[in-house]
Amino acid sequence: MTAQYPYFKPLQNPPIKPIHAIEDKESETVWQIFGPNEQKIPYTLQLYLTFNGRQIDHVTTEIGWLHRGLEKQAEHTPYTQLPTLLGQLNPLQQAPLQIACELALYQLANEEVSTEQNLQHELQLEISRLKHHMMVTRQLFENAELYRSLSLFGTLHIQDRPNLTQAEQCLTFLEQHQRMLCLDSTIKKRLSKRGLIQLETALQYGITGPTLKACQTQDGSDVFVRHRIRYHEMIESLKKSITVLKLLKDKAFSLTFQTPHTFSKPQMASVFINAPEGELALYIEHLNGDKPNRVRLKSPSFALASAIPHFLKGADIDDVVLILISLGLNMGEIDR
Amino acid sequence: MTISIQNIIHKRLGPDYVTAVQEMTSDDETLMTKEHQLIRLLQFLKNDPDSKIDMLTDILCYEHEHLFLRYTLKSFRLSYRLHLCLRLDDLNMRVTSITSLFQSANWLEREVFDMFGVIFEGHPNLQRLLMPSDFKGHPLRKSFAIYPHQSS
Repeated sequence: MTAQYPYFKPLQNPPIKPIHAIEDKESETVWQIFGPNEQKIPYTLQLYLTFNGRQIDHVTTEIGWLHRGLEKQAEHTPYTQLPTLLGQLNPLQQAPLQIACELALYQLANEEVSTEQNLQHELQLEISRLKHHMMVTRQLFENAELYRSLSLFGTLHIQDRPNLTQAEQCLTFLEQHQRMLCLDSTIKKRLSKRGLIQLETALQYGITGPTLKACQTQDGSDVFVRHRIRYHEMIESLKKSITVLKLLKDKAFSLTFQTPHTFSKPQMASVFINAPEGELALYIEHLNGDKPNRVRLKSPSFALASAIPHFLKGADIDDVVLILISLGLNMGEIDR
Repeated sequence: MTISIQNIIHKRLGPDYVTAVQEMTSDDETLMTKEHQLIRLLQFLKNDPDSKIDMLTDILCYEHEHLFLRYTLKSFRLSYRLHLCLRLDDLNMRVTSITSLFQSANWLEREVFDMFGVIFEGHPNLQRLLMPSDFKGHPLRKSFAIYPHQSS
Protein backbone atom coordinates (compact mmCIF):
# COMPACT_ATOMS: atom_id res chain seq x y z
CA MET A 1 0.00 0.00 0.00
CA THR A 2 1.27 3.48 -0.78
CA ALA A 3 0.15 6.90 0.34
CA GLN A 4 1.87 10.15 1.08
CA TYR A 5 3.24 9.96 4.60
CA PRO A 6 3.62 11.88 6.90
CA TYR A 7 0.15 13.19 6.20
CA PHE A 8 -0.97 16.22 8.15
CA LYS A 9 -4.48 16.47 9.49
CA PRO A 10 -6.60 18.93 7.47
CA LEU A 11 -7.80 22.07 9.21
CA GLN A 12 -11.10 21.71 11.00
CA ASN A 13 -14.05 24.07 10.88
CA PRO A 14 -13.67 27.48 12.52
CA PRO A 15 -14.39 27.70 16.25
CA ILE A 16 -17.98 27.04 17.24
CA LYS A 17 -17.81 29.96 19.63
CA PRO A 18 -14.80 31.87 20.98
CA ILE A 19 -14.01 31.01 24.57
CA HIS A 20 -14.37 34.61 25.86
CA ALA A 21 -18.00 34.75 24.66
CA ILE A 22 -19.21 32.20 27.19
CA GLU A 23 -21.73 33.63 29.60
CA ASP A 24 -22.86 32.36 32.97
CA LYS A 25 -25.64 29.78 33.23
CA GLU A 26 -25.39 28.79 29.62
CA SER A 27 -24.40 25.40 28.27
CA GLU A 28 -22.20 25.74 25.21
CA THR A 29 -19.61 23.76 23.29
CA VAL A 30 -16.46 25.69 22.48
CA TRP A 31 -13.47 24.79 20.42
CA GLN A 32 -10.25 25.83 22.06
CA ILE A 33 -6.82 25.68 20.47
CA PHE A 34 -3.59 25.50 22.42
CA GLY A 35 -0.09 25.97 21.13
CA PRO A 36 1.58 28.17 18.51
CA ASN A 37 -0.81 29.69 16.02
CA GLU A 38 1.37 29.52 12.93
CA GLN A 39 0.50 28.79 9.34
CA LYS A 40 2.49 25.56 9.10
CA ILE A 41 1.69 24.26 12.56
CA PRO A 42 -1.64 25.86 13.29
CA TYR A 43 -2.15 24.24 16.68
CA THR A 44 -0.84 21.35 18.70
CA LEU A 45 -3.77 20.38 20.90
CA GLN A 46 -7.51 20.76 20.42
CA LEU A 47 -10.00 20.52 23.23
CA TYR A 48 -13.75 20.42 22.68
CA LEU A 49 -15.20 21.72 25.91
CA THR A 50 -18.84 21.61 26.98
CA PHE A 51 -19.80 23.97 29.78
CA ASN A 52 -22.47 24.14 32.38
CA GLY A 53 -22.31 27.80 33.28
CA ARG A 54 -18.57 28.42 33.74
CA GLN A 55 -17.86 24.84 34.81
CA ILE A 56 -16.57 22.24 32.37
CA ASP A 57 -18.97 19.36 31.86
CA HIS A 58 -17.32 17.33 29.15
CA VAL A 59 -13.96 17.34 27.37
CA THR A 60 -12.83 15.68 24.14
CA THR A 61 -9.12 15.78 23.34
CA GLU A 62 -7.84 15.79 19.77
CA ILE A 63 -4.15 15.18 19.09
CA GLY A 64 -2.09 14.27 16.05
CA TRP A 65 -1.48 17.77 14.69
CA LEU A 66 2.28 17.45 15.04
CA HIS A 67 2.49 13.86 13.85
CA ARG A 68 5.57 13.57 11.60
CA GLY A 69 5.84 9.81 11.30
CA LEU A 70 9.11 9.74 13.20
CA GLU A 71 8.81 6.09 14.20
CA LYS A 72 8.40 5.17 10.54
CA GLN A 73 11.31 7.42 9.55
CA ALA A 74 13.43 5.77 12.24
CA GLU A 75 12.99 2.40 10.50
CA HIS A 76 14.76 3.96 7.49
CA THR A 77 17.48 5.71 9.50
CA PRO A 78 20.93 4.22 10.18
CA TYR A 79 21.76 3.65 13.85
CA THR A 80 24.44 6.36 13.72
CA GLN A 81 21.80 9.02 12.97
CA LEU A 82 19.12 7.69 15.31
CA PRO A 83 19.97 9.81 18.43
CA THR A 84 19.83 13.00 16.32
CA LEU A 85 16.53 11.98 14.72
CA LEU A 86 14.87 11.22 18.05
CA GLY A 87 16.25 14.42 19.57
CA GLN A 88 14.08 16.35 17.09
CA LEU A 89 10.97 15.32 18.98
CA ASN A 90 11.69 17.87 21.65
CA PRO A 91 14.05 20.61 20.46
CA LEU A 92 14.01 22.27 23.89
CA GLN A 93 14.94 19.16 25.86
CA GLN A 94 16.86 16.79 23.62
CA ALA A 95 18.94 15.16 26.37
CA PRO A 96 16.43 12.55 27.69
CA LEU A 97 15.60 11.33 24.18
CA GLN A 98 19.21 11.15 23.04
CA ILE A 99 20.38 9.47 26.25
CA ALA A 100 17.60 6.86 25.98
CA CYS A 101 18.66 6.15 22.40
CA GLU A 102 22.35 5.86 23.30
CA LEU A 103 21.60 3.49 26.19
CA ALA A 104 19.42 1.32 23.92
CA LEU A 105 22.24 1.07 21.37
CA TYR A 106 24.66 0.03 24.14
CA GLN A 107 22.17 -2.65 25.23
CA LEU A 108 21.90 -3.99 21.69
CA ALA A 109 25.70 -4.17 21.42
CA ASN A 110 25.96 -5.86 24.85
CA GLU A 111 28.44 -3.21 25.89
CA GLU A 112 28.79 -1.62 29.30
CA VAL A 113 28.37 2.13 29.65
CA SER A 114 31.46 3.65 31.26
CA THR A 115 31.22 5.37 34.65
CA GLU A 116 32.21 8.72 33.17
CA GLN A 117 29.53 8.43 30.50
CA ASN A 118 26.95 7.48 33.13
CA LEU A 119 27.88 10.56 35.13
CA GLN A 120 27.63 12.74 32.06
CA HIS A 121 24.20 11.30 31.23
CA GLU A 122 23.04 11.93 34.78
CA LEU A 123 24.26 15.52 34.65
CA GLN A 124 22.50 16.18 31.33
CA LEU A 125 19.27 14.63 32.60
CA GLU A 126 19.27 16.66 35.80
CA ILE A 127 20.01 19.93 33.98
CA SER A 128 17.23 19.15 31.53
CA ARG A 129 14.81 18.45 34.40
CA LEU A 130 15.80 21.70 36.04
CA LYS A 131 15.25 23.75 32.88
CA HIS A 132 11.94 22.04 32.14
CA HIS A 133 10.58 22.64 35.64
CA MET A 134 11.78 26.26 35.58
CA MET A 135 9.92 26.82 32.32
CA VAL A 136 6.70 25.18 33.62
CA THR A 137 6.84 27.10 36.92
CA ARG A 138 7.35 30.42 35.17
CA GLN A 139 4.45 29.79 32.78
CA LEU A 140 2.29 28.74 35.71
CA PHE A 141 2.90 32.02 37.52
CA GLU A 142 2.31 34.05 34.35
CA ASN A 143 -1.04 32.38 33.73
CA ALA A 144 -2.10 32.45 37.36
CA GLU A 145 -1.52 36.24 37.15
CA LEU A 146 0.71 36.18 40.19
CA TYR A 147 2.82 38.99 38.81
CA ARG A 148 4.33 40.13 42.10
CA SER A 149 5.84 36.68 42.59
CA LEU A 150 6.78 36.45 38.92
CA SER A 151 9.28 39.28 39.31
CA LEU A 152 11.41 36.85 41.34
CA PHE A 153 12.08 34.74 38.27
CA GLY A 154 14.50 37.34 36.90
CA THR A 155 17.08 36.01 39.34
CA LEU A 156 16.59 32.37 38.44
CA HIS A 157 18.59 31.08 35.51
CA ILE A 158 20.76 28.09 34.68
CA GLN A 159 22.92 27.64 31.61
CA ASP A 160 22.86 24.50 29.48
CA ARG A 161 26.44 23.80 30.54
CA PRO A 162 26.84 25.43 33.94
CA ASN A 163 30.06 25.54 35.91
CA LEU A 164 30.20 24.78 39.60
CA THR A 165 29.94 28.43 40.73
CA GLN A 166 26.83 29.04 38.60
CA ALA A 167 25.19 25.85 39.88
CA GLU A 168 25.84 26.73 43.52
CA GLN A 169 24.54 30.28 42.98
CA CYS A 170 21.39 28.87 41.35
CA LEU A 171 20.86 26.54 44.33
CA THR A 172 20.91 29.50 46.73
CA PHE A 173 18.26 31.31 44.64
CA LEU A 174 16.15 28.17 44.32
CA GLU A 175 16.06 27.62 48.05
CA GLN A 176 14.98 31.26 48.56
CA HIS A 177 12.27 30.79 45.91
CA GLN A 178 11.05 27.62 47.53
CA ARG A 179 10.63 29.41 50.86
CA MET A 180 8.72 32.29 49.26
CA LEU A 181 6.66 30.54 46.58
CA CYS A 182 5.70 27.28 48.25
CA LEU A 183 4.62 28.70 51.62
CA ASP A 184 2.79 31.83 50.42
CA SER A 185 -0.92 31.67 51.31
CA THR A 186 -2.04 33.75 48.26
CA ILE A 187 -0.30 31.38 45.89
CA LYS A 188 -1.67 28.37 47.76
CA LYS A 189 -5.20 29.76 47.54
CA ARG A 190 -4.90 30.44 43.80
CA LEU A 191 -3.46 27.03 42.89
CA SER A 192 -5.03 24.61 45.37
CA LYS A 193 -7.93 22.26 44.54
CA ARG A 194 -7.49 22.74 40.81
CA GLY A 195 -6.86 19.84 38.44
CA LEU A 196 -7.12 17.31 41.26
CA ILE A 197 -6.28 13.63 40.71
CA GLN A 198 -6.01 10.82 43.25
CA LEU A 199 -3.43 8.04 43.30
CA GLU A 200 -5.68 5.21 42.08
CA THR A 201 -6.91 7.25 39.10
CA ALA A 202 -3.37 8.33 38.23
CA LEU A 203 -2.27 4.68 38.21
CA GLN A 204 -5.27 3.78 36.02
CA TYR A 205 -4.12 6.33 33.43
CA GLY A 206 -0.47 5.18 33.69
CA ILE A 207 0.70 8.60 34.88
CA THR A 208 4.26 8.87 36.20
CA GLY A 209 6.65 11.67 37.27
CA PRO A 210 5.85 14.73 39.39
CA THR A 211 2.08 14.30 38.93
CA LEU A 212 2.19 10.78 40.40
CA LYS A 213 4.57 11.85 43.17
CA ALA A 214 2.13 14.60 44.10
CA CYS A 215 -0.63 11.96 44.39
CA GLN A 216 1.22 10.37 47.29
CA THR A 217 0.60 13.42 49.45
CA GLN A 218 -2.38 13.57 51.78
CA ASP A 219 -4.59 15.83 49.61
CA GLY A 220 -3.92 14.20 46.24
CA SER A 221 -2.29 15.91 43.28
CA ASP A 222 -3.56 19.42 42.51
CA VAL A 223 -1.80 22.32 40.75
CA PHE A 224 -0.27 23.60 43.99
CA VAL A 225 1.09 20.23 45.14
CA ARG A 226 2.56 19.60 41.67
CA HIS A 227 4.18 23.04 41.86
CA ARG A 228 5.70 22.16 45.26
CA ILE A 229 6.95 18.82 43.97
CA ARG A 230 8.59 20.56 41.01
CA TYR A 231 10.49 22.86 43.39
CA HIS A 232 11.58 19.89 45.45
CA GLU A 233 12.76 18.07 42.30
CA MET A 234 14.61 21.15 41.04
CA ILE A 235 16.57 21.43 44.27
CA GLU A 236 17.37 17.71 44.28
CA SER A 237 18.46 17.88 40.62
CA LEU A 238 20.72 20.82 41.30
CA LYS A 239 22.31 19.08 44.28
CA LYS A 240 22.97 15.99 42.15
CA SER A 241 24.39 18.16 39.36
CA ILE A 242 26.74 19.88 41.79
CA THR A 243 28.01 16.47 42.99
CA VAL A 244 28.63 15.33 39.40
CA LEU A 245 30.29 18.64 38.47
CA LYS A 246 32.64 18.20 41.43
CA LEU A 247 33.46 14.63 40.35
CA LEU A 248 34.03 15.39 36.67
CA LYS A 249 35.57 18.86 37.19
CA ASP A 250 36.57 20.42 33.84
CA LYS A 251 35.69 17.30 31.86
CA ALA A 252 31.95 17.56 32.62
CA PHE A 253 30.93 18.66 29.12
CA SER A 254 34.01 17.88 27.07
CA LEU A 255 33.95 14.05 27.10
CA THR A 256 33.03 12.45 23.76
CA PHE A 257 31.87 8.87 23.32
CA GLN A 258 31.31 6.73 20.26
CA THR A 259 27.88 5.11 20.34
CA PRO A 260 27.92 1.49 19.06
CA HIS A 261 26.13 0.90 15.75
CA THR A 262 26.83 -2.71 14.78
CA PHE A 263 25.07 -5.56 16.51
CA SER A 264 25.64 -9.29 16.30
CA LYS A 265 22.24 -10.82 17.05
CA PRO A 266 18.58 -9.86 16.65
CA GLN A 267 17.00 -8.65 19.87
CA MET A 268 14.97 -5.86 21.38
CA ALA A 269 16.37 -3.18 23.65
CA SER A 270 14.12 -1.43 26.11
CA VAL A 271 15.21 1.63 28.04
CA PHE A 272 13.26 3.47 30.72
CA ILE A 273 14.52 6.95 31.57
CA ASN A 274 13.42 9.18 34.41
CA ALA A 275 12.62 12.19 32.22
CA PRO A 276 11.34 15.53 33.65
CA GLU A 277 7.66 14.62 33.21
CA GLY A 278 7.94 10.94 34.13
CA GLU A 279 9.03 7.64 32.70
CA LEU A 280 10.17 7.82 29.09
CA ALA A 281 10.31 4.40 27.40
CA LEU A 282 12.22 3.63 24.24
CA TYR A 283 12.18 0.27 22.45
CA ILE A 284 14.50 -0.52 19.54
CA GLU A 285 14.18 -3.83 17.77
CA HIS A 286 17.18 -4.98 15.75
CA LEU A 287 16.92 -7.78 13.21
CA ASN A 288 19.80 -7.24 10.79
CA GLY A 289 21.57 -4.54 8.81
CA ASP A 290 22.32 -0.99 9.95
CA LYS A 291 18.72 0.13 10.53
CA PRO A 292 16.21 -0.84 13.21
CA ASN A 293 13.16 -2.98 12.45
CA ARG A 294 10.99 -1.07 14.92
CA VAL A 295 11.45 1.98 17.09
CA ARG A 296 8.85 2.88 19.67
CA LEU A 297 8.89 5.88 21.94
CA LYS A 298 6.44 6.19 24.81
CA SER A 299 6.47 9.65 26.28
CA PRO A 300 5.21 10.40 29.82
CA SER A 301 3.14 13.24 28.30
CA PHE A 302 1.04 10.67 26.40
CA ALA A 303 -0.54 9.33 29.59
CA LEU A 304 -1.03 12.87 30.93
CA ALA A 305 -2.74 13.99 27.71
CA SER A 306 -5.07 10.98 27.78
CA ALA A 307 -6.13 12.01 31.31
CA ILE A 308 -6.94 15.65 30.36
CA PRO A 309 -10.74 15.04 30.54
CA HIS A 310 -10.32 13.85 34.12
CA PHE A 311 -8.17 16.84 35.10
CA LEU A 312 -10.56 19.36 33.52
CA LYS A 313 -13.94 17.93 34.46
CA GLY A 314 -15.69 20.29 36.85
CA ALA A 315 -12.97 22.95 36.53
CA ASP A 316 -13.74 26.62 36.10
CA ILE A 317 -13.09 28.12 32.66
CA ASP A 318 -10.41 30.41 34.17
CA ASP A 319 -8.36 27.43 35.32
CA VAL A 320 -8.14 25.46 32.06
CA VAL A 321 -4.80 26.89 30.96
CA LEU A 322 -3.42 26.77 34.49
CA ILE A 323 -4.20 23.06 34.83
CA LEU A 324 -2.76 22.23 31.42
CA ILE A 325 0.47 24.08 32.20
CA SER A 326 0.82 22.28 35.52
CA LEU A 327 0.99 18.98 33.60
CA GLY A 328 4.01 20.13 31.54
CA LEU A 329 2.85 18.44 28.32
CA ASN A 330 5.19 18.06 25.39
CA MET A 331 3.08 17.60 22.27
CA GLY A 332 6.07 16.80 20.03
CA GLU A 333 6.75 13.61 21.97
CA ILE A 334 3.07 12.64 22.08
CA ASP A 335 2.43 12.97 18.35
CA ARG A 336 5.85 11.80 17.15
CA MET B 1 13.18 -8.30 40.80
CA THR B 2 13.01 -10.90 43.53
CA ILE B 3 9.61 -12.49 42.77
CA SER B 4 9.01 -14.61 39.68
CA ILE B 5 5.60 -13.82 38.24
CA GLN B 6 5.82 -16.89 36.04
CA ASN B 7 5.99 -19.10 39.13
CA ILE B 8 3.06 -17.32 40.76
CA ILE B 9 0.94 -17.76 37.61
CA HIS B 10 1.92 -21.43 37.29
CA LYS B 11 0.95 -22.08 40.90
CA ARG B 12 -2.38 -20.23 40.92
CA LEU B 13 -3.66 -20.48 37.34
CA GLY B 14 -1.88 -23.49 35.93
CA PRO B 15 1.11 -24.10 33.63
CA ASP B 16 -0.70 -23.34 30.35
CA TYR B 17 -1.14 -19.61 30.80
CA VAL B 18 2.36 -18.29 30.17
CA THR B 19 5.79 -19.30 28.96
CA ALA B 20 8.93 -17.27 29.60
CA VAL B 21 10.77 -15.80 26.61
CA GLN B 22 14.19 -14.20 26.40
CA GLU B 23 14.24 -11.64 23.64
CA MET B 24 14.72 -8.42 25.55
CA THR B 25 18.08 -7.07 26.61
CA SER B 26 16.75 -5.77 29.94
CA ASP B 27 16.27 -7.82 33.13
CA ASP B 28 12.48 -7.39 33.19
CA GLU B 29 10.49 -10.60 33.03
CA THR B 30 8.87 -11.24 29.63
CA LEU B 31 6.06 -13.80 29.37
CA MET B 32 4.32 -15.13 26.28
CA THR B 33 0.59 -15.72 26.46
CA LYS B 34 -2.37 -16.43 24.17
CA GLU B 35 -5.09 -14.04 23.09
CA HIS B 36 -8.00 -15.93 24.72
CA GLN B 37 -6.18 -16.03 28.09
CA LEU B 38 -5.21 -12.35 28.18
CA ILE B 39 -8.15 -10.87 30.11
CA ARG B 40 -8.19 -13.66 32.72
CA LEU B 41 -4.44 -13.30 33.18
CA LEU B 42 -4.54 -9.51 33.55
CA GLN B 43 -7.43 -9.72 36.01
CA PHE B 44 -5.40 -12.18 38.06
CA LEU B 45 -2.23 -10.02 37.97
CA LYS B 46 -4.22 -6.96 38.99
CA ASN B 47 -5.99 -8.58 41.93
CA ASP B 48 -3.36 -10.98 43.23
CA PRO B 49 -1.66 -9.66 46.40
CA ASP B 50 1.70 -11.14 45.36
CA SER B 51 1.83 -9.55 41.91
CA LYS B 52 0.01 -6.23 42.59
CA ILE B 53 0.11 -5.02 39.00
CA ASP B 54 -1.52 -1.59 39.02
CA MET B 55 -0.38 0.15 35.83
CA LEU B 56 -0.41 -0.49 32.13
CA THR B 57 2.34 1.79 30.84
CA ASP B 58 2.53 0.80 27.18
CA ILE B 59 1.25 -1.40 24.37
CA LEU B 60 3.92 -2.02 21.78
CA CYS B 61 3.03 -3.56 18.43
CA TYR B 62 5.78 -4.83 16.17
CA GLU B 63 6.02 -6.88 13.04
CA HIS B 64 8.49 -9.44 11.91
CA GLU B 65 6.81 -12.11 9.82
CA HIS B 66 3.82 -11.94 12.21
CA LEU B 67 2.32 -9.19 14.30
CA PHE B 68 3.06 -9.19 18.02
CA LEU B 69 1.61 -7.17 20.88
CA ARG B 70 3.63 -6.44 23.98
CA TYR B 71 1.85 -5.11 27.07
CA THR B 72 4.19 -3.37 29.51
CA LEU B 73 2.78 -3.62 33.02
CA LYS B 74 4.11 -2.14 36.19
CA SER B 75 3.61 -2.58 39.89
CA PHE B 76 3.91 0.84 41.48
CA ARG B 77 3.74 -0.65 44.98
CA LEU B 78 6.27 -3.45 44.45
CA SER B 79 8.44 -1.51 41.94
CA TYR B 80 8.88 -3.99 39.13
CA ARG B 81 7.96 -4.22 35.47
CA LEU B 82 6.50 -7.10 33.49
CA HIS B 83 6.08 -7.61 29.74
CA LEU B 84 3.23 -9.74 28.41
CA CYS B 85 3.61 -10.74 24.82
CA LEU B 86 1.15 -12.30 22.41
CA ARG B 87 1.20 -13.25 18.75
CA LEU B 88 -1.73 -12.16 16.63
CA ASP B 89 -3.51 -14.34 14.13
CA ASP B 90 -2.38 -13.27 10.62
CA LEU B 91 -5.85 -13.46 9.11
CA ASN B 92 -7.94 -12.26 12.00
CA MET B 93 -6.10 -9.39 13.64
CA ARG B 94 -8.43 -9.07 16.59
CA VAL B 95 -7.79 -8.99 20.28
CA THR B 96 -10.00 -8.25 23.28
CA SER B 97 -9.77 -4.69 24.57
CA ILE B 98 -8.46 -4.26 28.12
CA THR B 99 -9.95 -0.79 28.66
CA SER B 100 -12.22 -2.24 31.35
CA LEU B 101 -9.12 -3.11 33.39
CA PHE B 102 -6.82 -0.16 32.66
CA GLN B 103 -7.96 3.32 31.61
CA SER B 104 -4.57 3.92 29.94
CA ALA B 105 -5.40 1.19 27.40
CA ASN B 106 -7.92 3.53 25.76
CA TRP B 107 -5.45 5.71 23.87
CA LEU B 108 -2.77 3.01 23.61
CA GLU B 109 -5.17 0.66 21.82
CA ARG B 110 -6.42 3.45 19.59
CA GLU B 111 -2.83 4.17 18.57
CA VAL B 112 -2.12 0.52 17.74
CA PHE B 113 -5.36 0.39 15.71
CA ASP B 114 -4.35 3.58 13.90
CA MET B 115 -0.80 2.49 13.10
CA PHE B 116 -1.21 -1.28 12.58
CA GLY B 117 -4.93 -1.92 12.00
CA VAL B 118 -5.34 -4.28 14.97
CA ILE B 119 -9.01 -4.43 16.04
CA PHE B 120 -9.60 -4.24 19.79
CA GLU B 121 -12.98 -5.83 20.45
CA GLY B 122 -15.02 -4.08 23.11
CA HIS B 123 -13.10 -0.79 22.93
CA PRO B 124 -15.51 2.09 23.72
CA ASN B 125 -14.24 4.42 20.97
CA LEU B 126 -11.95 2.64 18.50
CA GLN B 127 -11.05 5.54 16.19
CA ARG B 128 -7.79 6.79 14.77
CA LEU B 129 -5.71 8.76 17.26
CA LEU B 130 -2.86 10.40 15.36
CA MET B 131 -3.93 10.15 11.72
CA PRO B 132 -7.01 11.85 10.23
CA SER B 133 -10.15 9.71 10.11
CA ASP B 134 -10.13 9.62 6.27
CA PHE B 135 -6.53 8.35 6.05
CA LYS B 136 -6.11 5.14 4.08
CA GLY B 137 -3.87 2.39 5.44
CA HIS B 138 -1.88 1.81 8.59
CA PRO B 139 1.49 3.59 8.42
CA LEU B 140 3.64 1.38 10.64
CA ARG B 141 2.84 -1.84 8.77
CA LYS B 142 5.83 -3.10 6.75
CA SER B 143 3.64 -3.20 3.64
CA PHE B 144 3.07 0.57 3.89
CA ALA B 145 5.67 2.49 1.89
CA ILE B 146 6.89 5.76 3.36
CA TYR B 147 6.70 7.62 0.02
CA PRO B 148 4.42 6.89 -3.00
CA HIS B 149 7.33 6.07 -5.34
CA GLN B 150 8.98 3.68 -2.90
CA SER B 151 8.36 -0.05 -3.04
CA SER B 152 7.72 -1.71 0.31
